[in-house]
Amino acid sequence: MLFLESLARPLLLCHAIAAAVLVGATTHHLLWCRHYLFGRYGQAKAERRFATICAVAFVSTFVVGNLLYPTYKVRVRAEYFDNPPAISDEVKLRVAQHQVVGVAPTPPPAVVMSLSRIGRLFDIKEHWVALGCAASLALWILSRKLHPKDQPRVLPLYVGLSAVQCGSAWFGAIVGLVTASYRSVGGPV
Amino acid sequence: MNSSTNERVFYGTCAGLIGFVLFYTLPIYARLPRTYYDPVARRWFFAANATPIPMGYVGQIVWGIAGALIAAGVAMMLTARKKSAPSERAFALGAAWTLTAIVIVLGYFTWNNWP
Repeated sequence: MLFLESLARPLLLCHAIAAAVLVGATTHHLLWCRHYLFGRYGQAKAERRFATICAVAFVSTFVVGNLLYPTYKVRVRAEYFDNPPAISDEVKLRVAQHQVVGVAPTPPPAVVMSLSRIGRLFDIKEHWVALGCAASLALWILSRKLHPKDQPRVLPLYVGLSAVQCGSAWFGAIVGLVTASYRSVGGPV
Repeated sequence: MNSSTNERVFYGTCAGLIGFVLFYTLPIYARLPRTYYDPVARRWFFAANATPIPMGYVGQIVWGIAGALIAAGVAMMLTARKKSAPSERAFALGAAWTLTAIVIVLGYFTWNNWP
């Protein structure tokens, strides 16, 4: 048994919920920050609160994702994505099950492609969220200690970090969903 | 908060982020040793390279955190010693360097892992 493998499903659920909060909060934060570009600071108090929510959600999502990582690395990445025989067997199994269920069988693909490309996409996501998490913590520090409302010279960095935070959260969520779709709704091809 | 503290927070944050992104990339770019966790053998080890299964991600993050702390500490010490207040342009440059470093490192990892 791998580290925390027995808890992988509840952890994945927590990871998904935290990620949903993160995507919503970071999008909200960036949308509120756009008012600052026009010198409107009316929602600064609420925006500061959202910066805290974003940082907490980012760190939580990141930590839970790291707890799941050993299970992903062995059970998904090594045993499936980087393992062409396993993908080939699954293609055959799905075709056979289509016939059992009575769904019009689709002909199997002539060449079964490796899913290593999905693993590599996931690697890109890992790096994006690590940097996004650092940006989120920096943004939280600025929101507490040096807000653009009091120090307008910080504004370009503040809005830029909010954009990095939001972009990395969205990218992480989309790649995470794409990765999880294999062996479920999407099948292996 | 006085202007000197403002500057220390600003440059400390900028330097901390730049330090994080550069030191996070350093063990990959320069093939430096870092901590790996082997999930199959359930053991930690320290090496520059490993087979595909051991995870070097945690070690890479530790490098990044160390870089952030060192860079932020140095920047805050230097800013505390500075007598004159930084110009408007200095603030803009701090923001530009920080955001550029993040974008370059995001591009580096995207390019290196592109499917």
